[in-house]
Amino acid sequence: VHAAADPVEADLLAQARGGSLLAFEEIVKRYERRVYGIALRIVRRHEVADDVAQEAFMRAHQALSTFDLARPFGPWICRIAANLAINHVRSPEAREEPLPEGHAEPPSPGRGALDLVLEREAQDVLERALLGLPAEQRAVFALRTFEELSYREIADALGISMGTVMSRLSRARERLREALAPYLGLGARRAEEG
Amino acid sequence: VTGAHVTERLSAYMDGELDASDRETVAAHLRGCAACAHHLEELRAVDTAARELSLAVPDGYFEAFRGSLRERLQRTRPTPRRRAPVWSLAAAAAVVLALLTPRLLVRDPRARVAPAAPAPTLPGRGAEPAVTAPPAQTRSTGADTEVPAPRAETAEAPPAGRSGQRRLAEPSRPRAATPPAATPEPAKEQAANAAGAPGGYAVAPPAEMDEVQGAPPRTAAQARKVEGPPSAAAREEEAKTRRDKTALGPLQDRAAQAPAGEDRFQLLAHQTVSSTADARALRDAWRALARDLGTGPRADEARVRAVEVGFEAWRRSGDEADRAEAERDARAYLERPDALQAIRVRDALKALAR
Repeated sequence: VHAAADPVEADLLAQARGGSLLAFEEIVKRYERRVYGIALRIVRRHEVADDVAQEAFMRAHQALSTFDLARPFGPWICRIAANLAINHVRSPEAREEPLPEGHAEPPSPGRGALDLVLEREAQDVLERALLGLPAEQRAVFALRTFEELSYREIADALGISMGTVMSRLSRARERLREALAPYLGLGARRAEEG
Repeated sequence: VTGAHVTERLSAYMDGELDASDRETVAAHLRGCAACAHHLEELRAVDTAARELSLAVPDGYFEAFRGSLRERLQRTRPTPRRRAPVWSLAAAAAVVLALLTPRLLVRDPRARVAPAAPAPTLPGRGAEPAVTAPPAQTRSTGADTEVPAPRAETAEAPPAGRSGQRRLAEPSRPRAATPPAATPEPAKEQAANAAGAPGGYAVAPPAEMDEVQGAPPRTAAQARKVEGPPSAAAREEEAKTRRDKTALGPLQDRAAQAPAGEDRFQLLAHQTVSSTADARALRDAWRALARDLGTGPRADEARVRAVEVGFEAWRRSGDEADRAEAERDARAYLERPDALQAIRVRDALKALAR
């Protein structure tokens, strides 16, 4: 069961439905990072995630007349984005795309050099493990972990059973855990040693 | 240790998604099994670490994102000046018919009165050069890179006009059967709007009358001229005819006769709904296409569009029969094991329930 929609959001959506692009842009501002994020977690490439996010908002805008304003917009737009992203990942073109290089962000200052290196390394490992998951597992993991959707909501969004959600999620987490195993608990061990 | 290890259920346990009995079993096991408890902590750490992964985007990315989206929305939004009247649809239909099936036109009794002349232009605007494809947009961020467009069978829904997203959702452009240059500009723009809508139909303002210039004749109405005032039965027949054969009639009929394939899909995808009757006719045409196609992404899309345009028919008419039909289509779709777009149809179903 969804929480009731934010009244400000409902008002913006009503205006957008009436044709106000400004109101819709306010909605976009609220959700763009989330929508882009869910897309990126599934499709893995910035330029594709960008397209997915754009397309998700386009479709949401065009389907506003069928959207129940009493419901929150977030889960809806995230589901649209997730479905578009999964459709892309399943396409033959996506299978030909090479995996992207890892992010090259500078480490944040203020921590010990070794911690930073290990953390950076662990992030790379996790990032790569995520990229290596089958698209279906990645989608379920992204919807649960980043969007915090319930199993029921994920099942509805992806058109699969709750049992499938449960098993895919479990398998995804196991694979990530195995990949991250050398780093898990490392911080705690270092703290004990120090 | 209490019983066998519960590692397979730890993920759902962590999410609070186990039923009460399972939850209690796992909890009891965890109290006595350090290995499983440690395993659970590691799974939690994985989630935490994943949430901490940053989304690295170029500076100013979201501003550019919004700008690009705004342009797309403005391009697809129908403006009053550009909302083509129903006659332009009929005229477009006539051109398509004239180009595609001249021999059929001769055999078809409707062809005697179908407007087969070149399409008129909007009053006061003059003829505009035909455009063969929607303008491709280039993003200023440099984020877009050209990637080959997907094959049609991977596409889920029609395009909304951005170059990059072609690889996600854009089906192939209409091929061969409908030369773009033959379509009048207003109708083309409407068609682009229709193709970009999630439901695949553009919502034009309701027509003042169904009787419009260029619309096909109504059999019963024609008969009335000869036979005098209509009986109740004739009125009923006329109402039915009006429902079934409006401005969409010829095109829809031709679409029904065309082979079930991409061209027929495109023909329907480019229809614009201007009245209840349009919506009903288009709904029926999508159903027929879905039936003929049977399975596959296009059949799936056709079923979804039948639901959505059925919803539009109900929105316009307020007729319970339209609502019931749309609901029936939606439920039938959701029961299909090969339904690819359940979420889209559930949204329509929810809207119907309001």
